[in-house]
Amino acid sequence: MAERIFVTGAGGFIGARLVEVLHCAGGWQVVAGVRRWSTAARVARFGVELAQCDIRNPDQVARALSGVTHVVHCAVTGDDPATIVDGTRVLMEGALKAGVKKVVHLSTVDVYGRPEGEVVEERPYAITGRVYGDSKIEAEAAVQALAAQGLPVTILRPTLVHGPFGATFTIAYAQRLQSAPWLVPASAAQGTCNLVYVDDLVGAIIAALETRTAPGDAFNVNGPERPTWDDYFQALNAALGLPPLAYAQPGKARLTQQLMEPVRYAAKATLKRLKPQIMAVYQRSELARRFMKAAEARVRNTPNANELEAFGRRVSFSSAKAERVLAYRPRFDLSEALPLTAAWLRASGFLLAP
Amino acid sequence: MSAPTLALIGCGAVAEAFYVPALRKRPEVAHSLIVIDPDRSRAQALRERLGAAAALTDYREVLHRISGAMVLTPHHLHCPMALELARHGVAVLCEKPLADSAAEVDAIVAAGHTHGVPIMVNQTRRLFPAAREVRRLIADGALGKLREIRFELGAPFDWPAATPAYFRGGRGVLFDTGVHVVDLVCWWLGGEPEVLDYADDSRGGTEAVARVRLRLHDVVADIHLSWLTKLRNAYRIVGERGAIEGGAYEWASFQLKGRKMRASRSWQGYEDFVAVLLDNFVDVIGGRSEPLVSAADVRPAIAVIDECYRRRRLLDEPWHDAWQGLFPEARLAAHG
Repeated sequence: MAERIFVTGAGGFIGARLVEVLHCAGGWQVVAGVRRWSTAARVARFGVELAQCDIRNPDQVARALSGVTHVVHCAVTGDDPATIVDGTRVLMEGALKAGVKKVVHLSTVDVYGRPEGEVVEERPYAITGRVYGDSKIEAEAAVQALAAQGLPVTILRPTLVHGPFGATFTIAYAQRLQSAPWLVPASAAQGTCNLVYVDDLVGAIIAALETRTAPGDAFNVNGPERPTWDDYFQALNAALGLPPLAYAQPGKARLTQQLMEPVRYAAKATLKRLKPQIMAVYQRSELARRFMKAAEARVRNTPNANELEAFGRRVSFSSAKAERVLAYRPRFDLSEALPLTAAWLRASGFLLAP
Repeated sequence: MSAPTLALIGCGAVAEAFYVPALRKRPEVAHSLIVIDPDRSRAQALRERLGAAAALTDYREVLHRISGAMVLTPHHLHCPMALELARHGVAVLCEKPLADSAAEVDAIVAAGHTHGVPIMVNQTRRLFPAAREVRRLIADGALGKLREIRFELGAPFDWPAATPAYFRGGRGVLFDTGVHVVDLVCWWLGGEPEVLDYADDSRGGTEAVARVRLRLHDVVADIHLSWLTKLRNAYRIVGERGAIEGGAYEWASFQLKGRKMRASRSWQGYEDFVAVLLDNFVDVIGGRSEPLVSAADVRPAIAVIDECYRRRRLLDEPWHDAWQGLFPEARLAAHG
């Protein structure tokens, strides 16, 4: 009989792809967990069972886990760090009570902070003050506490996940590449781009589901190669069929970035305080709409300080432990992955008409 | 003149987003309204917000004491409810799409005739001043002989649905937002086009991306729909003497041969269109007006959509199929 598996965050980039692959591969009875029905459109194409579940709610979690044998926790519940941590804790407590056979918890290499060099799993956590990474550290601690009580859970720490539907490392860069000039000089992008294609991550999750590990054991999940950021930008640019990158002069690029920082913060603060009023103006005035769209595109296309720091950092997250223990075998290098990504971007309306 | 007694059936997201704001502009209608939802608390909450006359859980309780009903329920309930209401002599204003097939539309139209009640549909985009002006220009030959229509409509599905009804029944984006576009194309072209091709991404569930190719009188219409990503959300109508271009959500303006045309500035939002429709519904019930959009009017679009689903083929999605490389052949063979 097929194992019944509950996937949280099934409306998201990674959760949705996991649901698709598990369903298509067979052998699993998949329950796609979504917080809001509106996020279910992608997985609903497969006719899988849908379950509305706010993982911060113990009753909803208990209902969702009824009869479930396996759980994969992909959900990131909002921007509020408390929800990331509390949601994870409630879900893991529910899984322990339900007596599931295996849980896979998706964490992130951001738990290591901003390291340099080769990073293996024994490296200690590093608090950085960034919400996402710091919250994931707390969430891992909650998972470890339940693992200590016997929850059969494996933690995966993926690097930068890219591929179709990926907002941060795929769509955002595809959009930027289409706007000249390119504001990241090659000399500023010689750091390591630790990319893992979403299907490789799904492969790692399935390997973790099928492998017995020590409760709470953690594994980095990286791709098969370590390009520089500039390698990635050039490869994505070529896959999209765009003209060669028109690099801005380093001085001009730096100036644009510096000028854009206060604009970025001011726009964010204004939008936070006056969103209804701004949206009302947006709806009613075409001139305002054009101005706001142009400003938003300018802000979006200019890398921020955190990105620039990452573009220059040389760090490699080792997947050797996952390869050894989970038999994880990443197979999507950029030459395999980017044509698939480009086909999706093209079909999905992300490439501007020539 | 007193307002007729109306029922509002279905107190979900459509009611909240469009009908509540419109009814607030028509207090004389709202105050005599009976609101109905199987979820009593929803019905009660809406009754209080509108100052409506009553809140109930079953529309069958009021069939004998209402003149008209607004049907704002999940899609699959439109047809059976419209039929039952008509059989009881109740006029109907139904949200789109109204029915699954041309045969169902015919049955609804026949029920309306037999029982002497109007059946109307909220096809909001037909009320857009820009859409009406585009239709007039096409009919007047402003573009000469038409050649093609292209229409893209897509955005991540974000409707605050209270239930998973949108994802049941195997009909997705084409039936939901696509019915707006297909209906506009049929209306602009003045008939029911043949389906040249239809492909979507359903793999056993509801499609989220669809591509439609239609033809009527040598005019080919290409429609691209998505519930997953934002598309251009625009249309382009090309004729031998120029083109009309417009935004899918621009109800007041469009471009004719590169020149901006302003159709109207009088309406501010969707609730204004619903208010117009409500006024029309009340007038039609009172015998003072003809329906702006009747059930018979939407038959071509429903027939085209039904034919699309019959001819459904899978979109080519190489990025999807790549998952097979993740597994050894033995496992794939085992699980089929």
